[in-house]
Amino acid sequence: MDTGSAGRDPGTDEVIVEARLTEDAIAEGLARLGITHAEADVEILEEGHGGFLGLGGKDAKVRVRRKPDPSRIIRETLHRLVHVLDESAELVEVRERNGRWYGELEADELALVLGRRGRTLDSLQILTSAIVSRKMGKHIRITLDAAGFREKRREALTQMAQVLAREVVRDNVELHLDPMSAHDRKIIHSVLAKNKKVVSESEGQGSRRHVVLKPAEANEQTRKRTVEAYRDGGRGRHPSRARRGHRGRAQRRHAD
Amino acid sequence: MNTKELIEYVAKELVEKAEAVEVKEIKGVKSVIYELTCDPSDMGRVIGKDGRIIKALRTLVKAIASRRGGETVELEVID
Repeated sequence: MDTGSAGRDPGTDEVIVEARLTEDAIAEGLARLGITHAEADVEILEEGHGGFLGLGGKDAKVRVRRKPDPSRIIRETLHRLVHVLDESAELVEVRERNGRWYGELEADELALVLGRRGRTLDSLQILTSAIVSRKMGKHIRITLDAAGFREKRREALTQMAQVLAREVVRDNVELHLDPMSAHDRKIIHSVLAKNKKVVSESEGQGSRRHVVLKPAEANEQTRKRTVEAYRDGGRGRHPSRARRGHRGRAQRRHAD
Repeated sequence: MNTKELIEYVAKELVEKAEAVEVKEIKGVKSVIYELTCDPSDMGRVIGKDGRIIKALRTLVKAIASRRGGETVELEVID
């Protein structure tokens, strides 16, 4: 980590301050960083000597460093990443649970920040995790969400998995879905874990890794079929679209 | 910050040798190409495992371009 940053602008993480008294030097350093003592690591580089009647004294020298705070670093990093895309976007909530960080985004142009099937949100998540991990010197797992997108996506994938599972059994086919993120694949596997008629597995490497659904009792007649994993007409893309898509399906089903 | 600076920011945060990071913006009539150069030893950090980082950065850069009226953008890593 960068340590030689003394004398930079007040936006820095570390200052070196000299003052007659050690306490004054610390107070000055905290003030310059705009933080409290609890938020700082203080190192006394040189003790001051009072001297006599202001003569012959020696100034104290301290280094005041901002303690790395994941929550603040996550906010700052995300702000810089998303700013060009939508300057209104910001994290309204950052919290930690079981060693994993969650960030809730708000943005004027939500569809833009989410992207198709949440791809832009996923990208922001990957970049934020990478940068914050590097700054903290350890791996930091971050999930970003906006307007309940992750939950809606989970619902859409759950529903899709159930529809596809019925297709596997009915048509005796092995379905190869489009490549998906590990997170999305896990949702499908967990949905079908209890289904005794269908086996849900992942195949392929890296960005080609995808879900394969097979009949539990596959035979020579079982055929392969590739499906567009998201053929649900874009549900899960964006909350407003998700609702519209859902109604559309429900109506069609009634018409049948 | 603009797109070029955003690419620079991400690359510099991830590499060991930030001073070697350079981004060139090559403007065409309806397209822009960003060429990212870094120290060869930092290549893996910028690209990420299975291209995760560079793909994410590309997605972000394309989202920004789509907002600006759909000029095509490319982000290439040059070694």
